[in-house]
Amino acid sequence: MKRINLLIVDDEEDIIPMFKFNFRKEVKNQNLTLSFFGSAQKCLDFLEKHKEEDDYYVLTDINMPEIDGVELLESIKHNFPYVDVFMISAYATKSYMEITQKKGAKKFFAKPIDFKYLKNTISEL
Amino acid sequence: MLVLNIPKILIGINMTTFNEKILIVEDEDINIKILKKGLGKFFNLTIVNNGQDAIEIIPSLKPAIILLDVMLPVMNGLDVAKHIRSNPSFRDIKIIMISVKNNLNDVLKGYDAGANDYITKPFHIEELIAKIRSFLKIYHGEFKLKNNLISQEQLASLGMLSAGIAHEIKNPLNFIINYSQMIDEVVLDCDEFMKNIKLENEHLEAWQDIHKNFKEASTLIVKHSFRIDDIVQSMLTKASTSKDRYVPIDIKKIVESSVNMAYHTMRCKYPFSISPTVEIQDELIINAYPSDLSRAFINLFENSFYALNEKHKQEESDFIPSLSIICIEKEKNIEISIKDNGPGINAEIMKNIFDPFVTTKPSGSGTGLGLYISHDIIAKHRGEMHVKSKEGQYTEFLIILPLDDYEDFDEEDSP
Repeated sequence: MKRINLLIVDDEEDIIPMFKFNFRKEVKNQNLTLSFFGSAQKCLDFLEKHKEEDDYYVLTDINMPEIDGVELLESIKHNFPYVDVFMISAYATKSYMEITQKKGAKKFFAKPIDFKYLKNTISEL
Repeated sequence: MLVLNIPKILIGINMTTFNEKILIVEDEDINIKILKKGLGKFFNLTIVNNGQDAIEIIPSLKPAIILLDVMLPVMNGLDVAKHIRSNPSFRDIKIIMISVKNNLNDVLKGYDAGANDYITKPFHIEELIAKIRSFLKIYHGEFKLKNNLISQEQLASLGMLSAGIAHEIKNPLNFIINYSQMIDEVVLDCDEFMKNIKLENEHLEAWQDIHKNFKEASTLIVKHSFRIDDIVQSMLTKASTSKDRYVPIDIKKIVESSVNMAYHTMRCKYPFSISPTVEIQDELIINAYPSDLSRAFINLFENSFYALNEKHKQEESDFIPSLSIICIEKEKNIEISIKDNGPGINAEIMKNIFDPFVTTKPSGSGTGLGLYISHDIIAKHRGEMHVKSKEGQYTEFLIILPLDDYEDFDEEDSP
């Protein structure tokens, strides 16, 4: 299994312990690293800095102040097309799913997050 | 000319039925006497002698009807009427002009100034009574209509508010669900951990007790958080329905796919078998919001399956559950009947069956929003939804959706 770098973008930092807990085994076994970003801009800055590396996966919330998840998706697809983007949102409506899929999102996860499903998806990367 | 023969229908009309105030604006004593005598028994009268007094008293008196003489001292009847009509808060007041001027030009001037009716002297008092009654009916009707509109607006804003609240609740609720699931997993971690530790009998029992309580509490938190999530989801679905696109759809496809969806959900939950009868005419096309309409049907089918299972649980094995869905075209409408032979609906529940949060399911099993949402969706499609039921025997929902819209659309688009 290759090592996966998961970049999680959400303005609510309370999601951090949730991800750390659910991926504790993968992190411990060094199959996965987690990085958290409180805003889309911070994530973009990070990707800019690590342009040479291409094994990043972004998991982003949609409803965020300033740059929202859909805009982040557009920006990543434009500037870092090799990075796969997954969406997470409390509002898993058909229109959101269709829009983000059209813009190149790999998958859409509804909140509350079904971690079994998320882990399955990630293990298949 | 005076009232001798009071028509029977008028006897019931007294101040208690019609306690709206009638303002008489009249300067001649003899006319005042006639009006007082003829109308005083039935209506709540106030009399003033000139136009200026009339205008001053209207804001505090709030009359429903004004009997307005045209030739008045100080300010004539036409000016009084114009003045009243210039104020929007008096627009519900009915003005009956009374005048000796009977040529067409004068009558038209009266209507032009804002009169609702114009009668010429001499007149029959019975006719005036009938007119007043008729205007009071209109006045009442308008009053009711206005109140209905206001309460509908309040309801709409309540809907917006609840959607807003639902949004706000959804985010913290997601955390509660995810973190309570995390506790569940921590309990499993504890199990792993404790495997390697040998406890003495006494401690082992204490540990098992703690473990059991922990597990129970976390399971229940997860379960009930999902209950809230269901309610919030339904509220949000209701709020977001307007985003769906309005397109021509084949009613057969929508109904069949909805039955299928509800059927498969049912098969996961309930142990009985059923093959629903579905008879739908081909090519019944209407304009609709497809996912909304499916939601409306799925809710109904799920209710039927739930009801049938309830009856199946209670009755002997000879109960054969049946669900029939019949859809026909009838007088420019589509009529869809959904009938099950389940336990039926109690008459008391029937009264407010389409209200939100009305449910017969045990607490925790239903949100009470299903039928409310279905009803709402059907109404949005300019349709109607009716329910018939006999306890212990059957429940039938009848949905009527208008067809004509599509036909218009079709004609316009055909070459």
